[in-house]
Amino acid sequence: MAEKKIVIDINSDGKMHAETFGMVGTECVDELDKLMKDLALMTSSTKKPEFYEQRTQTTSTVKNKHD
Amino acid sequence: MSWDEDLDYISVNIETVDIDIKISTISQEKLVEIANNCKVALQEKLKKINVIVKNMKVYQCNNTLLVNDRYGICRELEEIVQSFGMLIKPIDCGLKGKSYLISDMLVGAIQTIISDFEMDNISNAELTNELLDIMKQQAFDMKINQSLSQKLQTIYKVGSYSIVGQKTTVSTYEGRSLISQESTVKSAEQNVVRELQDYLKSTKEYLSRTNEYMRDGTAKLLYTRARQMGYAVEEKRNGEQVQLVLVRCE
Repeated sequence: MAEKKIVIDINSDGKMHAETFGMVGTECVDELDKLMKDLALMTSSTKKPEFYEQRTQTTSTVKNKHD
Repeated sequence: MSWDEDLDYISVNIETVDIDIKISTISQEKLVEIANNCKVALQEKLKKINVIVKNMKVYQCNNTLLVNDRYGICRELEEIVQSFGMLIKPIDCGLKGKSYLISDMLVGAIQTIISDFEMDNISNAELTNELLDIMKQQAFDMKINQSLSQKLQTIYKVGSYSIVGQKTTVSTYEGRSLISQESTVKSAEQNVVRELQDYLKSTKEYLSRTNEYMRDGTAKLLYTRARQMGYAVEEKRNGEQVQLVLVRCE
């Protein structure tokens, strides 16, 4: 099971800082967009190495032992 | 009685006249600044609240919102609105679903200075006479001090506020020569100054709490939204900062 985590700091001067963990590619941006919609304007962003990682899909095939 | 004997007489003359006393505890500029700060704070709160209530029926009258959550869109509405430091109470107005009246004490603070103040309109539904009556009957008491309001409105419009005091002058003569003169002024100046100072203090305190209300309200909104998105949320407080830790397993 993959754990997706977002840590948001909210200051009393109105500034917010959010950091995502366990998300790859644009998933972090999409997730933050959904969360912050109408609530905050993004003023700056720093992309972590995971942003440039490709989301890989793995297909597992289980073979019957007796085949 | 000879004139020389007259000179030995001591006479006292008491004269009382009305005088204007200008109260300078709050300047017009300061009052304009307070009113503007209150308006901006209220606008910001309304904008944030509108993020949730815009999908519900919103009626507006006399600086109060009547919000009808017919479909149970936000069960945490009361908590969120309270986190923003606003006033909210559930009401029974005959509409299906839950209905609430929402306003803010900032309205009272502004109306104390500007009696005809109207907050931004965020309504999306037309008010019926029936609902209007209910809103009027159950409106929040903004506790506007009319005496204070009259003073502040005068400063706001005219630029200064004056009261009438009584100046009593006691002149003592020896014969025709003035030997002493003392003046005393009787007025409500001290009470008025204290009243204005108390208003300044309470408004300043409320405005300084607004930043905390905005932070707490935003945190509550994000908390609710994150829960709707399937996250488990933990809230931590660190001094002036609120931290939300959102975790979801897939």
